Amino acid sequence: MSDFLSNKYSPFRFRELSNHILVTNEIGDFDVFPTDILERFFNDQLTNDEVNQFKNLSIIFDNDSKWRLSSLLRRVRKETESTQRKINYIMLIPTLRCDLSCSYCQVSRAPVNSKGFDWTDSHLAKFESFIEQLELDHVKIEFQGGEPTLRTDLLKKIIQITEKHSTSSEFVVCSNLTTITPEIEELYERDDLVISTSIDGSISTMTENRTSSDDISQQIFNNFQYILKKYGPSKISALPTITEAQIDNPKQLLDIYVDLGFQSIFLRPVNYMGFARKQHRTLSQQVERWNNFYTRSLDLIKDINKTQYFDEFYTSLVIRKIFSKEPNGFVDFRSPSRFLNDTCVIDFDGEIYPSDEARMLSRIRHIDLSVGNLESGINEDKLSVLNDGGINQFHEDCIHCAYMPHCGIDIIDDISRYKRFDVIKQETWFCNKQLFLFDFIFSKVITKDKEWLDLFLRWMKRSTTPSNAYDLFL
Amino acid sequence: MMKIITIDIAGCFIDVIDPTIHRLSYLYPNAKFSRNSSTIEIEYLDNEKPTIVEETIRKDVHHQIYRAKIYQDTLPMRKWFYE
Repeated sequence: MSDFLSNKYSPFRFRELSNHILVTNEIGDFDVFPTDILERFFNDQLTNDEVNQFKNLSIIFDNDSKWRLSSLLRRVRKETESTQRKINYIMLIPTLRCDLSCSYCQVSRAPVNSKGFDWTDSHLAKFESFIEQLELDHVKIEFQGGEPTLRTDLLKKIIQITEKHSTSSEFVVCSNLTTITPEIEELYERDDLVISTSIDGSISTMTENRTSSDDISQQIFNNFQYILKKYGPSKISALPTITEAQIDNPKQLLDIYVDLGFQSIFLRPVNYMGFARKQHRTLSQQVERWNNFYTRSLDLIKDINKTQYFDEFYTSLVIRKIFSKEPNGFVDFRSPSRFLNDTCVIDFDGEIYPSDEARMLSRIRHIDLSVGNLESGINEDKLSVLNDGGINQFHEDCIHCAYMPHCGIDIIDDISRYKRFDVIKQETWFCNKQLFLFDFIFSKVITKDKEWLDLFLRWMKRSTTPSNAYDLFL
Repeated sequence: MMKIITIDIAGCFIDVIDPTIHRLSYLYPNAKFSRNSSTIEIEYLDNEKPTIVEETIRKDVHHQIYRAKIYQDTLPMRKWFYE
């Protein structure tokens, strides 16, 4: 320990923003300084107040404050140490078949009448053995597709198996909502089951992106309203995929979500995956265009909040992670990614993937990212190769980034776009998207933009009640 | 037109000039960086795209120097954190 105590300071990072220098410590605690702070830091010319600011960040320490270092160490290790696998979220694809053919379909779905794309009794038996070994406590099962409601019989059997081998469970059916049969409705009546669907905007946008038919688009909206009326807003959620059809008109999209009664929207760019690689090739690589859309949307969402609660899911997630240290389960927005630690995806053929995007890349034969299957179990060697890359704390670019402690690492997206993940991070889609959002948030903090800070506080508490907890920011 | 900027580096940063130049060369592939004991010399084509702005590159050199210094000084501690 004596080797590094002689330096009297711990690792920190900085970024120039809004005419200030933002400084973060190893765990993401932050403070703001004048632009000449670094020169003065290394020339021992800090004011007493600045010394105290650095001490409070556990960056500067002396013999009387070594405890700060121990505290920092404990927090770093809590964030990064390897934890025992405890799966609590399983995404299942009981069928790859789908009755729609969306322009951006990321998994290259199979035609609705094709054979060989559904789970069989053999898959069910292997799934039961697999989850029996996982010793599940509470588990959430998300039925993805294809369109999972094409096989309600399989869904019912999977639910039975899950209930048998977990202490408690809940279920999500990701459906395109084109059809609600009595068999599907029987499932929807369960209290432990919710529905997630895709609504990309107006009827014409839905037709352009998803259905190729105004009648089918209208039917989806009718079914959505039916579910909403019969079961209430907690039963169903929706999210859009942003394509050329919406990117220049965020207001129209947001108006539709407000009119449908939503209090949240997850603005998702079209991924560079599956069919989108061809159908939305240019847009899926234009990060500046995405960032512009995102800023316009956030400004509109701020206005919506003058009369009601309404958040943007991803910004809220990031804010809660920065200011409340709230953990999240997204493998592409945490570091270490810890693939297969708490989440896994099981495909229609029994192959196991660390994320849905990894499944997508494998499906189009870009790279085989399966990390096992229901037959032979998890391929720990292959998984550890992925996990070795899924950590930003050691990446030669990320280690210098002020946002490293708050950010994640998305090696699956890097592989998809650049065919490798040892790329210059500042040039990647993921890094540019993240940097833009972090700069947006921290610029509001640095300039003490009260209107935005009030909104951040409300999103952190998921409440419309005003809060004066501005000390959370600085 | 070829442009040359010379930046003086303070004594406490002399031992991180080399890693700084490596990183700057990777971030500015169109510029040529070299050292001369306690200076960093930057040579670049003034009209080449993407345009290099003198004020920006001067700031970046200093920021990279600070980053390299922080990295070097705190590497043993980082190893201790993550061992």
